[in-house]
Amino acid sequence: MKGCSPPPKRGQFRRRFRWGQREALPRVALVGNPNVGKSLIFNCLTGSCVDTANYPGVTVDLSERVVRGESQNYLLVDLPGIYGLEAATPDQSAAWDYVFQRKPDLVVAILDSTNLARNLYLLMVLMALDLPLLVVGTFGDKAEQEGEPVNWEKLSQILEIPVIPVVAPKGRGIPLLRREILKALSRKKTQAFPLPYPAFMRELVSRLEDLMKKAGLPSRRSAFLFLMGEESVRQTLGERGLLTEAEKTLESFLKAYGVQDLPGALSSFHNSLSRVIAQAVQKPHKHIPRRLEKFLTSPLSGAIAALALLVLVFSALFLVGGWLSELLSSTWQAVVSPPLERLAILIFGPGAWAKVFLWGFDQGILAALTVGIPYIFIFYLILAFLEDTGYLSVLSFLGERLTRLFGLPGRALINLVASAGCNVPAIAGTRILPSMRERFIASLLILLVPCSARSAVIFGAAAPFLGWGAALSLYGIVALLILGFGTLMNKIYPGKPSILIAEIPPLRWPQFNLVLRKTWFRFADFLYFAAPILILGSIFLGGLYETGAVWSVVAPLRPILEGWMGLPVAAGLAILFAFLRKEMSLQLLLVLAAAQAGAPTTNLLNFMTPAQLYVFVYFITVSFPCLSAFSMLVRELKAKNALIILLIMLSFSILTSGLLYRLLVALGFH
Amino acid sequence: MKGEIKASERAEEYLEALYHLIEEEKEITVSQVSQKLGISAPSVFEMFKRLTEEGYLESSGRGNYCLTEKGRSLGKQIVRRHRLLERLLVDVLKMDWGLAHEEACRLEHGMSPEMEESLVRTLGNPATCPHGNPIPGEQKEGSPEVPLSALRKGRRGIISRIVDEEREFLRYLVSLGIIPGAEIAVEEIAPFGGTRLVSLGKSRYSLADEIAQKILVREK
Repeated sequence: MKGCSPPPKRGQFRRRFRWGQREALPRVALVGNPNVGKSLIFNCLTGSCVDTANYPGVTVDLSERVVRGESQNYLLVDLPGIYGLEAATPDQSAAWDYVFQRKPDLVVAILDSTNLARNLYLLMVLMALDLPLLVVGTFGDKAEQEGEPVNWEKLSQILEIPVIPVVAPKGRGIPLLRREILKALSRKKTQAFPLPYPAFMRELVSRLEDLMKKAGLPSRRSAFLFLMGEESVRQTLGERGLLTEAEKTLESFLKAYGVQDLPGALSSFHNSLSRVIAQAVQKPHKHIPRRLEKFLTSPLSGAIAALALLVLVFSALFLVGGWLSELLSSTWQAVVSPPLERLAILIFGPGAWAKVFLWGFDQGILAALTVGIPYIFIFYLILAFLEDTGYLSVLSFLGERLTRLFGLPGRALINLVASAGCNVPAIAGTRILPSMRERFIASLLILLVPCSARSAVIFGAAAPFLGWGAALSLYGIVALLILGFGTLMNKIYPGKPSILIAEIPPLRWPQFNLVLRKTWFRFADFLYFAAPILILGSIFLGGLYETGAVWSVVAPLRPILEGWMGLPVAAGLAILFAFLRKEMSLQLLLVLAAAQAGAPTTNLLNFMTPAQLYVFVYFITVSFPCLSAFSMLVRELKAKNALIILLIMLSFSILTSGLLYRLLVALGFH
Repeated sequence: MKGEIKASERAEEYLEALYHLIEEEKEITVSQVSQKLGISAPSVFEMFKRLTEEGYLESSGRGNYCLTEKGRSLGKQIVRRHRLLERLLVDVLKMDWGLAHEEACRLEHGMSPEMEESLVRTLGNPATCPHGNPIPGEQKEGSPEVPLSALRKGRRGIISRIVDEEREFLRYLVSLGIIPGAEIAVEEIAPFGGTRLVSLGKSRYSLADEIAQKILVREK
């Protein structure tokens, strides 16, 4: 891979390819099992990348990129890894949605030579779907080292499709692949050999094909999908009034041949076929020792390694992230804030408007930066690295017993640990979880974990005035809440925990530039999404504050704040601003305390009783996510789920705060 | 040459019949077999002599005979192939049950192990023949069907069946290569008993306990 140009900014794309032009380009999709080196090939092909834009999938974003070829430009997309037609996770269904809805002009099927039979199974499915195909074999060098070279020419002869061996890290085979893609695109149709189904299947398919033609559907593909019980095809047939006929045809065949489970029979057929082909082109299996893998997965050494890693992730986020955050913030305040202030006064004149402007563009951008770069970028980097090594799956195996209490796969451990640094990237990281159920539960638990900002409040407000015991007891309460909420949600959330099988791929040393690129793309995505929200949110809150309108917002909360939770109404102001940034509530509280005392003070007890302070810190810790976390929540789980989580947290924490206050008063802390 | 093949086919028929008898009783006599097969006692005796010479049968005194290990496994194989063929003839080719039995008798002898394997797969590893008799497994006696969750670390087995109602889930397993007939090894068991790390061909998976309980294997 020779020097990739730096990832271009979004605006650049619009100058070069307008939407219409882009839509007119042919599409090429990279399809394969997880971990077969798709991204590596994607990266090689887009090495001189022209542009990027995100294609919004159902639940995950797939990125389509324009590749400039000698004779033709095309859109290349790197689809999430799949094993077969059955999707176990949202990203797997997104891959199929792309294939069926966006209808790529060419599908490049990628086969891992070190696990050929299973990879061929997917290829059989792709062939059954009658997709225009080109085959790429990866990790051929590794297979050769292991004494199992693959005879690619023979494979190509059997499949009647061009097969291109590629060793992506060394760039071998890439120029050929480029040429073959262009060739295949100009050929329009790359026809593979018809799968040798039993005669009755062929007859059934040809009958169904006629019906599909009538319905205006791609005939072979739809016939196969219909046989597999695919809902969308049935729906289209229903709309055209052909469903009963298709069902009758199928029924009569199944009855006549006594087939009970045709999709199952087809799957087994594809499985046998893939193994026969694999045997024909590759020498039989030899035992390959995997010492590192053994070490990392064996219960004792593996647990120690995992623990060490989690500590490392945590300290990277907590210490390095905290330090960087501090550094950025002080640099910003020293370098950017003063000129910004002058600018604001220049534009708006001294007064409320200038201050509102500063809330948005000084405080707001600062918030995005101090959360974004130190916590999110670092976490994304670690996550991308771990993803690319394949270690996340090992963690999934080791930690499952614990996380299964909450109905989560073991890999969710990494999110929970990371959330102690910052909740935002941990929520973004729930993308590695398979279903909305898991993502919902994990996100709720993540939001309960005190992030570094909330830890700052606990250590800044509770520890000095209430003592270390009080501060630590808050962590104890949080731990209990996580245990309780996790177990409860697992019980009451509809459905069952879905990840019960996870592949443990062979560990591989990641390509560092790939890791960086992945990190950058995800990070840029966050910035584009969160920065505007943070700026607008800050302007809004700043406006409320500067105009004094904030008091009329807080006042109606008096019954809840004062009556139930026992807090002074002024503390409501601090709570409101905690929504912007959690640690800001502490700063504001000190300001309020000073105002109350009429003189600068650092003792919060001048302002609140110990019981009030404890309840306040408790409430700040578990009541609601900050704006960054909430916007990430909306992005990842959609608005409805984000609101449900917010409601759960708010109502629960308001309820328990009141109870806690009464308990503390009864215990004599007033 | 031809005669020899015929003779061995006949020997196979005998072994099949003997295997059936032995499913019920441990030892057999010439007269039992003669009755059962409707063949004259002298020719049964003749065949017994031959089978004993070839090491399929052994005399346990007083005119009683029992199958040797070799005889038992060959008999079992024939029975297995016979019942698989019956399933094929009845289920796929829609043949009458009675005819299927005779047809299976004729076809069972020349079958290669590859064909047997593909039959098993095509038919979805059936447990019984159309008449409801169990299809004996290809493993040695003494390796009963157990859930994968009962296998200890380092053990391996052949997947015999997957007990799950949901077909889409079964197909997902197929796409991972988890299919009857495949060899699976338990590499690690996570602490507190539960998740298993298994290897299967060249793939390794972490399987939750629930899944491991649904995968039935015969230990190797």
